[in-house]
Amino acid sequence: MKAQSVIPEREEPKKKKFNFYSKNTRENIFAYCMLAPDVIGLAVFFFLPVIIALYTSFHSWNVLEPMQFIGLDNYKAMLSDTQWWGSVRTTLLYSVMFVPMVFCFSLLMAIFVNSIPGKAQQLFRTLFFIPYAISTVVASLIWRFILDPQRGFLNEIFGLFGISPQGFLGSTKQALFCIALVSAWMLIGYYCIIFLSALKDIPISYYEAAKLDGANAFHIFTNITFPLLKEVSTFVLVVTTIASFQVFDLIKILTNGGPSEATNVSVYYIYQNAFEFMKVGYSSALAFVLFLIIFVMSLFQLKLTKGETNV
Amino acid sequence: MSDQLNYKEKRKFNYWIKIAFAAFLTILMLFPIYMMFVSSIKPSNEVFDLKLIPETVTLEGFQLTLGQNFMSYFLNSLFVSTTVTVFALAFHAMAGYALARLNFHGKNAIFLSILSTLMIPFSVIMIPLFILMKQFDWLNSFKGVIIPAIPHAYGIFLFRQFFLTLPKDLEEAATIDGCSLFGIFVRIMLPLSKPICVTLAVAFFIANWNNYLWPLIVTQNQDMWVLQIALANFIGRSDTPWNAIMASGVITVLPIIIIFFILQKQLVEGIKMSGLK
Amino acid sequence: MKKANRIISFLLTGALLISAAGCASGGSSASNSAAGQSKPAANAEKTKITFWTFHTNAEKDFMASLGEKYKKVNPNVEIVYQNFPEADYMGSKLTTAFAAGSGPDVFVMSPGDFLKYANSGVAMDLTSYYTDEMKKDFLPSSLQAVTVDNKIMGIPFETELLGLYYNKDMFKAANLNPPKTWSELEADTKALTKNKIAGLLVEPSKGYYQNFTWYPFLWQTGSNVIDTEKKTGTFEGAGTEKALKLWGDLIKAGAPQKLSIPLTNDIALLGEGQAAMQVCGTWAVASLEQKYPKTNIGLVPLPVPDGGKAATCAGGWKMLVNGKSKNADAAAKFAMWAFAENVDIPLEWCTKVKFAYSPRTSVVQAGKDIYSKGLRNVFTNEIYSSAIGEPRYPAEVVNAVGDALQSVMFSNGDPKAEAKTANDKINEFLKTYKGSL
Repeated sequence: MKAQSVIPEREEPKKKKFNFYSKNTRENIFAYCMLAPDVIGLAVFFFLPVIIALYTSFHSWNVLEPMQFIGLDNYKAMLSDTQWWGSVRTTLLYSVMFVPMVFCFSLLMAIFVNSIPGKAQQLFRTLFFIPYAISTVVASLIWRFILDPQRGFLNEIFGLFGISPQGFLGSTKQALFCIALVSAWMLIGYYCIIFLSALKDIPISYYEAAKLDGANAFHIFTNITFPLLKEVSTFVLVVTTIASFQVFDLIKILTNGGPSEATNVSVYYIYQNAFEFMKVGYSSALAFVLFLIIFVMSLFQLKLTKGETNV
Repeated sequence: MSDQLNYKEKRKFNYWIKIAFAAFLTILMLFPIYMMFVSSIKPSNEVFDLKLIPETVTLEGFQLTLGQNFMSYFLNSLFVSTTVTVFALAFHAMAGYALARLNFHGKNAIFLSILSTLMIPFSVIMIPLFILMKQFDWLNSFKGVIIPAIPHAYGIFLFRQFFLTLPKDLEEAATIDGCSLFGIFVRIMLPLSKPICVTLAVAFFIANWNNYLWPLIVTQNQDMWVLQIALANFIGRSDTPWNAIMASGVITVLPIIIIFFILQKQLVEGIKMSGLK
Repeated sequence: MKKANRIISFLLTGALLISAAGCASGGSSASNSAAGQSKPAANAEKTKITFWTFHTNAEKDFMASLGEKYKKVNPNVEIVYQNFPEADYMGSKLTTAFAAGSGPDVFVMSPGDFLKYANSGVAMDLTSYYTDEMKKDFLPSSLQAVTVDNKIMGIPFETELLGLYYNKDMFKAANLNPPKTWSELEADTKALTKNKIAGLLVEPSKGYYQNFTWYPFLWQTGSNVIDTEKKTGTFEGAGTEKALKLWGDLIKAGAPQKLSIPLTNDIALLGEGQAAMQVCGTWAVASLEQKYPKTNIGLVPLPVPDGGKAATCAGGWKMLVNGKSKNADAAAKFAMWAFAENVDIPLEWCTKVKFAYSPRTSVVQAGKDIYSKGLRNVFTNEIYSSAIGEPRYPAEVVNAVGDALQSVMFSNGDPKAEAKTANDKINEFLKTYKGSL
């Protein structure tokens, strides 16, 4: 309890009213200038294509012939597309598997690594980071080897403990989790570094004061560490959630949406519609519905983590 | 006296327990990397025996990868990744700072719009973006590969979150000292954000280094190929040299590890907040 | 301030240096391909034809060499060859290129996607380029496959057949003969699956290749997916159910649900001695001879059900010309010269670069000796006669069939119910489908 009083209070920035005093206008103009390169870039290379895609969603287009306007037909078709809604369900399931795994493990790993003194910490930081640097193609190949039902290393280890060989990527029940596992493996080292950067900013004096007050590790974590990681935690949570809804590369290389639709996530279905069935208009419509789902979810997450800081 | 000795022993013991656990974690995390390395030194007709210790050791995988213009593709990748990283870092720091520390009209709306760019899959904007590139006449040029890759919400978001953690009095103190708005950014905020800069620099470099689809779509000439496209070209129907693919994995990972290891120091010495002077 | 400045200027200088190096190396790198982008503008009348395929390694080198050869025939035409990895060639590359109106002039196309290009008018009508001699030279079925509404819209240049490869030593050790019937196939798979060796490899991943390797089993029962005359789905009945059930049983008998190789068109696992049997095609023969000479591999036709007829699938990509290109005529002339007129080029392709059958009798005659060497003999004498051309169904049909197969193989789906679901989907799709089949 006393540990809480150690952290200085954060002040709310005073909201300034918009008037024509030169200082505020200057700040506004300065802000816009700072934002300009990225915002213009995003406008041209992202929003413009998005508007084109939105336009396409009201048409039927197979890329080889001119577009044909069909109004809301794509959206109507989507409502009765059972494969689409199945893919949404699969995506949600994947997200629920993936996000907690990455968030918790990378945070725990960061706290652990942070507690290693000396040069050893540098060494392990680099080692844990290496999986992040591997390309998806190579990572998929390697994990195919490890998860191979006949000869893979994991089943061999299981065999030593008397567990019967598992299907992993070939099993409809395990495939999705395996994809989450491979993806988490690639990302945990990286998010560990991000948490580490934030952990390093917590002054040691806070911990020392807390220990003097008699707080144990758990108290320290919940009352000092975690609250001070709020901004970074929000970032990791929001970004990994959004990424989990967009999982695609691994699925394309490892399972092609199978076995038997088990890993057919929304982005994969969208890709199939655009580039295999060549129904670009329909695929754009699906993408917008997915976007709305993600947007609402992210908004919800941001509001949830609002707390003391400005959102 | 004996208390002190016990304390030192306990600390040493703790230290070695930590090292042991870290080593265990390392084995778990890096076992797949070991597999990649082992597969890269096998002859191509033994790759799928999945043995942990290769029966035959050969460098033919590496020879195959490094032949055929490897250097020029490598330099292409290096050029693209470095350029994107440098510009992205600069722009995202500026944008993130504005969103975190400045007050201006429409701040939340702009932030949410920027964030929303993360929510649409690339497959959907790929075709329109390609058409746009054609209109700009940027097809088959480095411009077309590099410039669209620079603006990215991820970096802006991370910088914003980081700048939010800095104490509010920082700007006031600087203004009192007579610092301009831009000066605050360059002289105070940027140096404080070194750890994040390094982290993001590495992340962007890796993402662009491994980026395959967009360069494939935009470029036509083989001269413009980046490394990932060249490597994907090994994958054929029944004569794929899988050991070369693994060798390529080993080769492409090495520079990143080296750079990261060198930049470690910048990452760690994040300036503590306990002093404002 | 100084430190930040220093860092920034260092980075910028570094970027500038690297960009200078990049431009220099990018420009001076020796091009392997015939891409002459920086040629001086001396021959301003040269027509440039873009030629795209998905081939790699030796096959790519062969395709790239065609441009050089054509220079002797027509020095005013420059062939700019590009290759792309197969997975992204069909999916992303071609689609984005055509969407922006920059499709290639000459390109290879799978039988499955051929109709999209034919129906939309992108594939050029080549009927006028086919001389009567040429038409007689091609096997009628191969020309049929590229004909839509009596217009020949492509050039077939290879025919690839499927067979059952098996490990002779493993069969001998188990005192078994290679299977001739479906029940033998299942029994052999079971008997030979042990010690981490897979009895049989069939394609587990959903997609066009899985369908390609499964169709022969469907056809052997006398069934088919669609009646192309009546344009209705026929994916039902005892035969269809039997064929679906077979692959489900094969998985239960020991065929793996997941493999270390991405697709079973790669013969690596059989070659390395990790499987006893594998359904694979003519292209694997060269690979077996070069990479796995020590493994004793044999070949038999695909096993047949009781009361069924032998059948195998004849696949093979087609050469298409982009009818919307402004150089369409020059492009058509090049493509026809290489694959419909010239005998050496298809011969080299089908016998040296890879192993496949040519749909042209003149080429087959010229390569008579090669077609009886080693395992090729089995294809020529025992399998060739039962070949049925790969169907050119639209992707939705392929997907429906694939879903049924996946369900029976991996989710204990009931063959009858799955066939019905697929057939309903197919009929639903055919109702609004206006193109040819």
